[in-house]
Amino acid sequence: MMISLYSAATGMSAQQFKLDTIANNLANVDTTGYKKVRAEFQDLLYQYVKNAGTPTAATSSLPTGLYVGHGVRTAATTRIFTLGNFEQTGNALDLAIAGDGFFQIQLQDGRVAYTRDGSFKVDSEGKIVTSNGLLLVPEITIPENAVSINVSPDGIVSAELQDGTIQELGTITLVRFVNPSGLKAIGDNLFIATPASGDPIEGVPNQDGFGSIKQGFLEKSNVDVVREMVDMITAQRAYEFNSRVIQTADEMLRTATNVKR
Amino acid sequence: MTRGIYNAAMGMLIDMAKLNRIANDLANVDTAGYKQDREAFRAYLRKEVVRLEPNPKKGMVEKIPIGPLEHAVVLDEVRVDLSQGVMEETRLPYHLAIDGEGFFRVEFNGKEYFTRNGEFAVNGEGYIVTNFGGYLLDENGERIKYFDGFTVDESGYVKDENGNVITKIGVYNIENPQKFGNTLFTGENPILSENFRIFQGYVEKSNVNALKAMVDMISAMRHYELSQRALLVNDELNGKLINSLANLK
Repeated sequence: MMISLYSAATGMSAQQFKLDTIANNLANVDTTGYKKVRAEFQDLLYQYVKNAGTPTAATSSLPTGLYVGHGVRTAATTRIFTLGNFEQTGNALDLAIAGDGFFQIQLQDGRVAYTRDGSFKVDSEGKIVTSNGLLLVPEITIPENAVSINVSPDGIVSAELQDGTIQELGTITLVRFVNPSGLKAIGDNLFIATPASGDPIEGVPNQDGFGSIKQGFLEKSNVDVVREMVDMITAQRAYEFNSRVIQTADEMLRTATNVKR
Repeated sequence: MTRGIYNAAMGMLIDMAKLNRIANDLANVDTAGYKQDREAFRAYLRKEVVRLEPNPKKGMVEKIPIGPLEHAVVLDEVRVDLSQGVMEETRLPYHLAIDGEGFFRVEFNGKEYFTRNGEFAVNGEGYIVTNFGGYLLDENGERIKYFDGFTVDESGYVKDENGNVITKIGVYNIENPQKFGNTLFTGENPILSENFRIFQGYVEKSNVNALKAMVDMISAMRHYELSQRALLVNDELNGKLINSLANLK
């Protein structure tokens, strides 16, 4: 059957995939620490009838070839780690990273995950945990008699006790990756390292290129609504173009069928 | 058989080939670095039609030319239209777009390719790679490492935070650019291009002209229907010929 039918079908499914990523970005437009995803495409394979540069005579060669392409495929989804907007909450355990870096979170199975969602809570034992109750690494315990908690831009956590003394509780360290786009998202605003992301590089906030910690702020998602809407419109139009190709191919085949009456 | 039937059928076949090209262009309307195709057709089987006339003086039959007749049309070549695509801002430091002439040079699976797709990424070892893992090469054919404060100026020089030049991205003009898939091109005799500007944080989108593709599609469709009509008319004539000649006594 006609190649164009299948090429156009690949185009339609690619645009569907793009719409899926846009839908997920828009669904997470208000998710703390969410990083938007961008779909990337590549042309598929080419079927060559004649190669460019093939000799046609002793002294001449074909300047151009004769080929037909077979459509498009989704090549990658790239997560874009630009900074999101900061929202002031005034909550002492809401932490945002102004710059590069991830918080480390201990998963239930012992592995370490990474996040930019700094909406931390305190569990019944006084340990700092995520909204899902997963422990922050390194573990920090807040004493029962603490009146207020202070987190410095360098990640030093201290508490003022009832008797007015100030006690240092520990330091929040951050990790960086050579290629954060290579991290694997596992849901719940968490990422885990992959061979593509490289090994985590641990460091102290506000040093060696790590971002500083802003207490009382949350990093919102970096989804740009206008941009997503524009992408959605182009995806829809591209989808329509491809569906028209299928229609035309179909009509051509019907015309061909009518040759024999 | 009557030539007309085959001529009309060939006309229908090239419209199908044209639709295949349009389908591929439109499928890649959103593919970064994709370049649309253009096809050229060629009349085929050019044949001199002659009249035979006896020449009693020479004692033989002479051929008097009437004129050429083209029997068929075929798709002769498809060529890449390398015109500039539009720029999309992505703000990713390792996304690069070329405005002007040339291709990025990429090493993939031990071979060298060329591409205008600037949707690069960084792999686990810190090298800048295409989104399927081919290495971006500098002017000396070396792989390029990504680092903090990586900046690329318009001439392709890679600089660190303090403005020191680390290397220069190789942008090449090639002969006989040929599509390989994965938005890669193969080509011969790469020569360093000078007529370009690089934009960091941008991606060059495909240069497919959707309007032209749609118009081409309509014209291919109508031409196809016309050729089909021509084929049917030829067939009817054949039918008439058979029936009326058979009755001739």
